[in-house]
Amino acid sequence: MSIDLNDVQGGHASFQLGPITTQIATGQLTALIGPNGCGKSTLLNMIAGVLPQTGRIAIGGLDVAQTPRRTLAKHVTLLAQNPVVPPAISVEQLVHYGRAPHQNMFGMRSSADVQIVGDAMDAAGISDLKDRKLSQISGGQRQRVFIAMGIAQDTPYLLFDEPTSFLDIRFQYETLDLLAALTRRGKTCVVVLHDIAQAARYADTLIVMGEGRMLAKGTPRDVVTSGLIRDVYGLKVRVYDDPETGTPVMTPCVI
Amino acid sequence: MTRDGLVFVALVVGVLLASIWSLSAGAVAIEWSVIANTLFDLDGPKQDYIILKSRLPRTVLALLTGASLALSGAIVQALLRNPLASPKIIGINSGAALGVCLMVLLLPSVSLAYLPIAAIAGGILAATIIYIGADLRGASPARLVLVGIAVGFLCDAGVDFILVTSSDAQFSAPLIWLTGSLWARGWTHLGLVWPWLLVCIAIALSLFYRLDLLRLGPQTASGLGENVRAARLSLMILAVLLAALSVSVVGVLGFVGLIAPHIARTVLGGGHARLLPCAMLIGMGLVVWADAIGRAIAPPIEVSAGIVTALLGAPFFVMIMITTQRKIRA
Repeated sequence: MSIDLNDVQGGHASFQLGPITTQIATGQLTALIGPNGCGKSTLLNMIAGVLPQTGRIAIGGLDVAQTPRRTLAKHVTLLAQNPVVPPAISVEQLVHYGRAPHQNMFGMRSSADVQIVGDAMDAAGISDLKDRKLSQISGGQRQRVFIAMGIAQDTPYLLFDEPTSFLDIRFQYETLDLLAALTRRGKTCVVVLHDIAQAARYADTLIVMGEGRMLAKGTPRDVVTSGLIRDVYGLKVRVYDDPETGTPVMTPCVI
Repeated sequence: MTRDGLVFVALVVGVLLASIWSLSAGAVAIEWSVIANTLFDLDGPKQDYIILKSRLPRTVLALLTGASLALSGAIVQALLRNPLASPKIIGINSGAALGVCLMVLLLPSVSLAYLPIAAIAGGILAATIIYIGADLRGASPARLVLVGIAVGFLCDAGVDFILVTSSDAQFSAPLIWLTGSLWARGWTHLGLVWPWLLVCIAIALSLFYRLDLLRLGPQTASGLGENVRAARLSLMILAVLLAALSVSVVGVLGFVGLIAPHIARTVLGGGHARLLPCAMLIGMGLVVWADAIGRAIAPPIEVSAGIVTALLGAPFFVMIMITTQRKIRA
């Protein structure tokens, strides 16, 4: 089982993505990295079936274009980059929306739903905020609420678009730890990240994108080299091993 | 009792009081005891003709159209994620009114029973034009509102033009109600629309969870398993039906669809499971009060409900805008 991308292409007049053909292994944390506007979010949304594309994408054997949305939503979670925030909704209510694909048309909550939502809020560290309105909490707290909603959806595949944006450094690492823990529990996570050192530290596989194409794919050690960073980002850097984890980190060279 | 429970009790009581007062107020003021005698067929003085033939159908119609306009507004606001949107603002009401106007003036011999169909046709035509116009460069909610306002003004202009230029006052005078009034509405008008309105109201109330999810934006909603295109289209059609059917019997009561969901959101907030019934009750109360006040101000002259809702609603609306602005800043 894996996420299979076959000749994935799409976009609009000013941006073309693909063709991309690759496999994303299950049970791994895969990070999508690359410069702004290179198509990371677009690719993630195509995998989730939210944006149209002309190739074939199969998630664990399910053809994304052929599968009803509701069925798909029981297999794949998408955490959007800038989700719309309905201000008057409570934190707990929003996390409950994550259960929507498993519920009837009235969103009736089973005791299992309540349990799962409670666990998701605990995992994201927002249980003490549960009765607050979304308009009353900070941007970083909101980000964690949406992460909790994604966890509550409880699917084997998780697609997170920049889950660490708006978070301070402690919650950035807590979020990444959370994703790593989910991966250890057997989930497959595909995550768009901006910080290459964080991606290298947490991801099993890195996919590097540039101008709508996949430029490199492999383990962090193989992918993060000064040559690749110069080619992709146009920045001269020195790459060395993180004294804490041994994974590659980098510092821009003095010009 | 919870705060939400109190709000609902207060609203239901308000709607009931409004309905009773609406039976009593007007050119001939009627005592409450006489109303009770008439309605429940008790012994004592009665007013069968005025109450049963004139004010009762009118009150029921006010309740139904108030509910429909409020729900239509709540749906449109959720779909466009814009609290300032309403069926009137995006041109549906005006399209429906133009449809009615054209039917009455161009096909004067056609039965009254086709009025709702003409209204629906006008409303759907306006909505389609608005959607196509907005979709030319990708349908963003903001563009939908802008095109809607333009189409709405065009339709309004069309209605005014027909009413003013119609050489025969016999044709145009009976259409004054199109500007939003329950004047001379009776059982016939109620009979035309009530089954359809009840069905549409029931469907609208049952779709609260779809609205909750759609309000999260297209990306998140489809990630949660919603078929966003289909859900939006069917809800929009429902909003058009609710507004157009109302317009076909009481004309353009523009303010209700805008303000009822807005008030509901201020007093309750939260999901549509509570928001929709709350907005519905507010809409019912608003139209009944407006109609009754219009009759009671200067009998036997009637001030149309459209004018009263605007007079009552506008200052209230400004007040809400000011207080919510403060809340956002605080």
